[in-house]
Amino acid sequence: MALISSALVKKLEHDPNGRISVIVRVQGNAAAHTLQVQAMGVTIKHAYTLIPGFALQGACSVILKLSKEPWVVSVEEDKQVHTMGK
Amino acid sequence: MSNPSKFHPNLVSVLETRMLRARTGAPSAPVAADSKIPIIVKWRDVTSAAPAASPQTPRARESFTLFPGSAHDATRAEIDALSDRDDVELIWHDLPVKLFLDQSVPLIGAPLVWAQGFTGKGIKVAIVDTGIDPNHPDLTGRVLALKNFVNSSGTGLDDHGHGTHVAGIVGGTGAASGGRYKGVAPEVAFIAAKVLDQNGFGSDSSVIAGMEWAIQQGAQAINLSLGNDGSCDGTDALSVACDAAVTSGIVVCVAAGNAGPGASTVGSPGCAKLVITVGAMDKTDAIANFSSRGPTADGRIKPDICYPGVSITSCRAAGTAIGGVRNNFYTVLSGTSMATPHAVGAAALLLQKFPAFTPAQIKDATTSTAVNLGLDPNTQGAGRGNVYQASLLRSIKFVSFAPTTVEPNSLITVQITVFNGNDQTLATQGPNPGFVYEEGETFYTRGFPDIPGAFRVGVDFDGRTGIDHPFRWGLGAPLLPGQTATITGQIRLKVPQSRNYWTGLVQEQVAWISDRMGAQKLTVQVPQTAPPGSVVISGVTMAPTTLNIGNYLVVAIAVHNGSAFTLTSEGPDPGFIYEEGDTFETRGFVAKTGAFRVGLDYEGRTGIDHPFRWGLGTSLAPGQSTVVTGAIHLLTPQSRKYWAGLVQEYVQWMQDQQGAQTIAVKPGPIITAVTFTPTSLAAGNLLNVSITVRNDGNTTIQTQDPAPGFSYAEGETFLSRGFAATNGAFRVAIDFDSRSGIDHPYRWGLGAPLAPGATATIAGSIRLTTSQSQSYWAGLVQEQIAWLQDHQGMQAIVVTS
Repeated sequence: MALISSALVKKLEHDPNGRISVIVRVQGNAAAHTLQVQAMGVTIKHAYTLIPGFALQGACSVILKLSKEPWVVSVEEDKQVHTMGK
Repeated sequence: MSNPSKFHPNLVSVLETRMLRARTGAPSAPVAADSKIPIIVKWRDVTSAAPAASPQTPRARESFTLFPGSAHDATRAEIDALSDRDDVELIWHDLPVKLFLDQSVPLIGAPLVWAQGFTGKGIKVAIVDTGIDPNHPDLTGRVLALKNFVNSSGTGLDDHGHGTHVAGIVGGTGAASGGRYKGVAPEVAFIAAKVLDQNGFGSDSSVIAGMEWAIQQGAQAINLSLGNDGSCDGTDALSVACDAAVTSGIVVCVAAGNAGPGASTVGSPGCAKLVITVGAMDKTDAIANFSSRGPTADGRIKPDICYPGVSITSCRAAGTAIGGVRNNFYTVLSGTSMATPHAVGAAALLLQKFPAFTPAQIKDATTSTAVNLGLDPNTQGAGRGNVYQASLLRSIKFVSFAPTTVEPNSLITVQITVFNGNDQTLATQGPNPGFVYEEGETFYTRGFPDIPGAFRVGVDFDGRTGIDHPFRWGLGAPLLPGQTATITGQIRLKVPQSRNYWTGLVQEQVAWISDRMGAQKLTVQVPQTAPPGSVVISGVTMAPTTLNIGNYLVVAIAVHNGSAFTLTSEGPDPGFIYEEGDTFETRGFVAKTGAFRVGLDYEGRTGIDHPFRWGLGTSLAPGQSTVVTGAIHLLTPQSRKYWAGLVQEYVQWMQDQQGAQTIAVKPGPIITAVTFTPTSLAAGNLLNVSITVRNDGNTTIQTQDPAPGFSYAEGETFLSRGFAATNGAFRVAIDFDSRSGIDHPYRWGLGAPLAPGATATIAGSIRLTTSQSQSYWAGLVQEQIAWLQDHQGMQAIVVTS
């Protein structure tokens, strides 16, 4: 069962056809799961080795389905960052 | 003379830099002894603010009324003279309103590391930011790689300005300013990952991708002057990615955020566990109001350390105009973004000096030597980073205070482990480890001087007035390179209190290496007061109620703890035997505040109340009972009431006058006179003794051999002369100071049974053959039944050879 906040689950359920960018951490390594991810119809923005996982973009309903896969460790929104100086 | 304890840390840094420049004769900054340093002096009372100039006091440029202070331009000699004045409280470096890079870099000690030969050369630093301007004169030739993660078809060129400014702080050469705006590590090489767009925004996913790529390019340290706001517990993907980078051997420094001053405003990835999270200070060594505070959502202290971050001048990227533009090449920005590259530059210097250091060692070296600013850890972390002190690798590795909750007049033991990673031996001073201080003393009042240059640890505490680190200990012996020493000291705390104590490592009159280490709250409290009637004497027995002189009154006092807490106790333990005339004090026991004890008192007693006291033996848990037994050796005829009481020492009398009983001590024989003649004699001559005994009892008393008149040789005993003790027989004896072996070795009987009211004078002699000077005395004993009297007629006897 993946770590995913209840707020994100609500968001995905509420707007199944909307598109969302997420960061997904997986068991093992990203390479082993690349085909599965692609087969689900999501776009891989980055595949990481620093932490095993992906930056993905896809339909909310698909991301919700992905979050239930046993090899998914966590799903979170790809949040905005900004500079800390001005 | 000089009193450097009055120099604010920001002045110390400037003086160190100038001292160094004067010594090394660095061509870029020749310093004459009469060069003036701008200072602000804080005076002790209003009337002495802006004093008239004297030959030693430089003229005041300005004087203030908001606090008693004045601004001067002073030479080092004038500063030393000022510090010696009683009316000078503190001397700051007068920083201009804008903290230019040429002041933030010396403030953190970087030039003193350059002087050791370390500039970051060969170290690769990743700027994960808005990109970089590789053609800026201060950065040119050192940008190894650039890549755009915002737009894969774009370049890594900086179209915002933030990344270039940050890079300049890490390692700009200052070429476009004649070397003035030089960064912390001016010879590092840069790897620039553009993960933020021209407006300074990006996404977690781009940052992770940029970091991963930078690591693949060989980055040894990563600067993340970015993040998001909102509560963070370190488990989000970006924070986890940063921790993964650290685990793989890369130093990662992250801005704490600019969402302060509220609590828990450090967002991601500042809240990552293993990174160095950096807060920002302003020109007065205060933490910038905007600098985000800890703790993290899972309760960890952040930031880890602080560096200058307000109004920092650094490189301006071509074609950008953010901040306070100064000229084509420099602009001024504020933020924890500006503080973070100071940390990265420091890490680069240390990585060059200590190539084998792990990120954890870099973090420990900098945090353990940060200059404590006296603020809450969730505001300042360890304090302002000082890369010079970090590079010298002398640090406190471990601190413990124990116990942490005590009663008044208890000893607290502090243990401090000091590591000398430097290649120089650390000289030291007294007192040695093991020294015990009383609360209120200082090492000065105990007569220890501070020796300039000596290393020592000190203990300080919240609310301390007077000299800083009043409790000081040296290292015991000079500490060799690579060695560790554990210093143990003790302080007797007396006053009820609950406050933080901590320790620090100082090189006397040279440098504060670390402070506020191992802060521990110590509590001194009087134990709870037992409610009246909750702890009671539930029974008293005394026996025998009639006894012969020289026998023992045995008491048993039952105590029940009906209160809700555990009772502490004191000495002596149950079973202790007092001599009539003793008190618990004369027998060496001390009343402990809050401890429970029983006491025996009697009619007509003068002197201290309850002279015969016994503790409970062990602590007594709620609901438990115990019986305290004790005995008193009664030596005088008497008939009077004795009774027991129960007291919580210095807190309250629980009960008194319990179990009152008349005790009769029947008179018996007593020694009424003792004489020794002569008191000074030549060896080989006789010491003559005469002991007079009167029988005040009402029965005739029996006796034993030898008869009066018997003569002993020194060293003999009545046993070695063939006599034996007869059970119940009364006899006198002579004993002396240095006697080993059987007590009362020289014994005589009374001559004949002694009738009631009769008196006998027993004469005897001892031939003394060794030269000596000691006391002799007489005693009266009923053999194997009772000691009636001892130490009678004590007399100093001198024997010369």
